[in-house]
Amino acid sequence: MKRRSVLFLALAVPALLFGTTVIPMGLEKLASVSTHIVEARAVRSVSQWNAEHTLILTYTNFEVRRTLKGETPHTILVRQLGGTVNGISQRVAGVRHWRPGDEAVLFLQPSSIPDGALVVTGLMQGNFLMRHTPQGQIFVSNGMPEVSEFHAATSEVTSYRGNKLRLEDLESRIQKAVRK
Amino acid sequence: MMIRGVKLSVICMVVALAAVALLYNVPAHSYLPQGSAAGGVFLPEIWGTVPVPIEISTNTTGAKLLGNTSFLTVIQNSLATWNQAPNFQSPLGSPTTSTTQVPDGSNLICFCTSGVVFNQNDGTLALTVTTTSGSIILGASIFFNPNPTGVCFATDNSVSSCANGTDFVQDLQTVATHEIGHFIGLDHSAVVRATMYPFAPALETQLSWDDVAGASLLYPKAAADVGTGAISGTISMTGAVFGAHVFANSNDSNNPFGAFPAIRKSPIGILSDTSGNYTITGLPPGDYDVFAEPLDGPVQDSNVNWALDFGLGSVETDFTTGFH
Repeated sequence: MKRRSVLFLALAVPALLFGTTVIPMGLEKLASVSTHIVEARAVRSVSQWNAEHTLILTYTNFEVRRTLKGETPHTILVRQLGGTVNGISQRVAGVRHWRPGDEAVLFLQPSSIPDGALVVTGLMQGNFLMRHTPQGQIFVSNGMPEVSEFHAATSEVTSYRGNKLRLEDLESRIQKAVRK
Repeated sequence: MMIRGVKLSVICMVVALAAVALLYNVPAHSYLPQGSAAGGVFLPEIWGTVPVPIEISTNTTGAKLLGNTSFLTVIQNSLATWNQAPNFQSPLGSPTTSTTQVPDGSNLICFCTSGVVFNQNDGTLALTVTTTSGSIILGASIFFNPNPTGVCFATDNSVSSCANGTDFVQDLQTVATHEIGHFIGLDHSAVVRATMYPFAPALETQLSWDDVAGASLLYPKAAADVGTGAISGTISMTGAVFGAHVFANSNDSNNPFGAFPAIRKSPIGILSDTSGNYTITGLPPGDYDVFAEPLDGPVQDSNVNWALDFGLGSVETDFTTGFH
């Protein structure tokens, strides 16, 4: 979107991530409010109805490769809204379910219900999917346009620098944030 | 990068009824509807039974909600915004009211205090959960977070600050109008001026051309209010480009939807399919420039899950913007 993005961003002045509507959080904020931050690989997912049979929840097992904040076992369980059970699907716009083999840096919090799972901080914001380039680099993105440049007080985005971040840059910023 | 087979002028080219019927039977591989692609053919999700019963809970106990206008009125206004859209046969029924704050299996719009997973500090303001079987929508609910961190909701423009003086004031109708777009089956749009654009302005309650195109694709009026046409083509480089954002931008100053209140002029866009094909529908008569750009920001594939809909890992973004 290189040639048009300047014009469009000038028109946009985006404030909140819509529907699923969330308040964009910068990396440092995400790191601050998350109890666990891990680099992990999705192994398998299972979807099931909640106890009230009103919502489908998807639980994904992750193999933890590296822990950047908190203490985690070798495998963790992460819950997301939506999924498919017996041919019935529930979808929440903007929430992407992991496929086996997906790699991500995950910012996590304990679940508000006693199911032993963790949840992604900021619904989908703490889910930085990893992508390998043919040149051997690894980029990560959570689908947010430069969240660190968002200013809630003025609802302005002061600059747009793209949303690709190198894995080592992300981890460096996490480590700085965690040390504070 | 090339764009082939593009028609740059759409001059009353299709009788509206025939156009929408044709386009609906041949899904336009558009990112606008929610849906999935079985065997490479994108199937949009639509409500199976209409009119759709809707329940609005008027109980806003505990909600960070300010303003002189009631929650019920704001939601009714948001529903009316969609119901009045041109060329759109709304599937939405007249809402009933309740006082529940717990999801009850109905098509509920509420400030729900339990039964919905709003975690602390997750910044979530609202969720729309759509339940489907195949490409049929069975149910949907819109849940507003009663106590979002750092934000309060305003029901009208009488609110200039939140109760604590520091939280961000978010217009409720702006959020509700977007969520109702999901409720009827629309996904996010990469068109910045669209209501279904994933990143919300503080205040925007009017639909755009892009929103009307999506809504009328899903639920076309038998006798269209405004005749529209389509532009089709193929995006290719060395091979087909999958997931390019292709949009048509009008060069005319007129607004054929001007007779309808508050339909904002905007580009109308879609995404290319696995063969690089695209069809932009719902275009009012006029001259258009057609652009193809990578879906690499501000809207990305993770905002629309286009690749996942086709069972693929990612869309093609390794090209620069081109236009005809």
